[in-house]
Amino acid sequence: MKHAAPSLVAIVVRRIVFFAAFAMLAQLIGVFAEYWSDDQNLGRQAIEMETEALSHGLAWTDQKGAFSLPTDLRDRYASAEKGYYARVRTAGGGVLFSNCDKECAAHFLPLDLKPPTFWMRQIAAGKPLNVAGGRIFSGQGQLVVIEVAIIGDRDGVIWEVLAHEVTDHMILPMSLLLVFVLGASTLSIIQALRPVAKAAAQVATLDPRTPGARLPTAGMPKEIARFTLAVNAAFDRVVELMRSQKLLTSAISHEVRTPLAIARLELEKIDDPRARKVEQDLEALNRLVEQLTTLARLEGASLAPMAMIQPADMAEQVIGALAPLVYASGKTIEFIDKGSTPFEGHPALVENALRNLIENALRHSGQGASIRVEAGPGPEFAICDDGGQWPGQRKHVSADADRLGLGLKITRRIAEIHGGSFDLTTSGKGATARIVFGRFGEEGRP
Amino acid sequence: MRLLLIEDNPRLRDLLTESVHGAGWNIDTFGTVEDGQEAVATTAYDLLLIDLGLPDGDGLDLIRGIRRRAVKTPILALTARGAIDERIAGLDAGADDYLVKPFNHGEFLARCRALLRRAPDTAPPILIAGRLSFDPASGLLTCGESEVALTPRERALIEVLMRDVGRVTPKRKLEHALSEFGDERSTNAVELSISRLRKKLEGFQTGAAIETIRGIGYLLREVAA
Repeated sequence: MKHAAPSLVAIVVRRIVFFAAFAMLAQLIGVFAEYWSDDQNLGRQAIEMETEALSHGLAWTDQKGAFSLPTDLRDRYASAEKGYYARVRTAGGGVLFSNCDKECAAHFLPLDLKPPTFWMRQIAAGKPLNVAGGRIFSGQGQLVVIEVAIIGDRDGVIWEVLAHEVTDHMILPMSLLLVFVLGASTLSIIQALRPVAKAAAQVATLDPRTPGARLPTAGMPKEIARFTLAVNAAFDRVVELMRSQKLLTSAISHEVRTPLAIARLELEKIDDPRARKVEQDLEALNRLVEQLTTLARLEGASLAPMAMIQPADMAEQVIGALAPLVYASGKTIEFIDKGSTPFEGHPALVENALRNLIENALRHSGQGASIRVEAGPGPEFAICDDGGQWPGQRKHVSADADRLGLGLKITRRIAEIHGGSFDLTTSGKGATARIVFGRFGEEGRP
Repeated sequence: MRLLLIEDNPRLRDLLTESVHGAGWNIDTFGTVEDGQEAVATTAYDLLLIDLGLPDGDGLDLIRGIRRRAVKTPILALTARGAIDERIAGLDAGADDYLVKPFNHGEFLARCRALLRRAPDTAPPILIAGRLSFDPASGLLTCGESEVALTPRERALIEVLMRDVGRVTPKRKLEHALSEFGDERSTNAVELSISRLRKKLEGFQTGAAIETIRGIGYLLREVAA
């Protein structure tokens, strides 16, 4: 079961939104309770809202006010049947609009009375709303009085008032606040996590063999820096463990070589075919020791400085060292420089890889086999053998477990350490091993 | 010939002593850096065999100390450390050659012989490869009791090859040997001379063979006669 873990930003945003929604709900209940119990205030807000809405029907021409009922209010104020009354008049008492009969006119101020800027009168306490009131609007030096009476509130103006209040005094300011809080929080988290993301990218490429490889703590918040320091401490322990293992492997390998030398010298003095067999076993053991030493060196490779390697010189040196063994085995070896170019690498490791491949070709080819070592083109070597002749059944030529033994795994690792690649292909009776080293440091190639 | 062996392992010391005695040379053996230093300071040797991992110090430091005292005796370093950079470190310290453990008697004696030939105060030795022997002083090559007639070029080549017996001789080294005959620009000169040399040796039971390592050079190796 796979669930992608949400990002920290998503978690924080979700929680802020949740708590903001919770706070808004609480505030909504508070606002509702406060307004619902205050009929005076509700009535005042209703008059203000309705007169404001009706004022959109005012027009001023030639310093005279005119009124036409706004479309959205026609249903409510076209007639007096629904219990909503409106009267629009000038300060002088001229009526511009009225849906009011004589009965309802009693709710309004007399036409000859100079009206106040705003007035409101509760006709009956409680719900539904029964209020009357008015408000003066001015334009082009003229004053117009808009008066409204709500009797029974069939359209539910009271809910519009409440919705208006909630929107104006709660949702708008809180939404604005929420946007800023979310923006600031997201920005803060992204900024705080930037060094963490950088560290995470470095962890992916962190190699215990790289000297001084550590995660940086600069710019990290204190809490995350503490975690990074703990990771670095754990990493140090891994490096220390690897170093101990390397020392152990190296020490064991070196200590074994002297007894091996003694055994070989002693065996030479014994004239018995069984001694020759043991000599072969000792040779295999010596190879294993060499590989263990190389493994130990491999792990500490990056601790050693790199040097420019001339492939042709390196091949000449290794072939020179192995040629006596090759010819003593009844095989031949040759070298071809196919335009090799120098490259930067660890000479001990490159030499070991080349030696491994030549020894591998030597071991896995038959009598009279020809081994060809090619350097180049570029920073690479190819070791080819034609398989030779096997008395009776041919020894394995495929890339079987033996061919891909420890030695070749080491060779592959050496190629990787140098940013290169290694492959072994077999065709017919023979095999070709190709090791390509990294392109850094080479010259004269595109 | 008097050799000095500094090796901490008594069994290996005994085996190498036996080997050296078998070659007709004398040998003094010690197991520590301190004893070795004293021996070098008080006795003249023809060859120093020094193990690099000694109980009271590093053999490389011992070699450096010997070279600092202007002792020119050839040094063969014996070691378990065989990587190229470790060999370079040994040679930089002043060793003339390097023998990585484990090795066999033949290899050990061949290296000793090669270094003894370089010994500053010794007369030019007779070079041996299989049944061939070459006297650099007289330029005479013999196979058993028979003399092999050689041209000056062939003599120059066989001397270089016999000094490197069991090891690959780079072609350029042979070209250099022929340069005194004005042949340095002729890339075929070495091949022609080697070819003639091979033909001359074909008629003898030499117990040695000149192998061509294409692209590198030649290998004179001892073979079962």
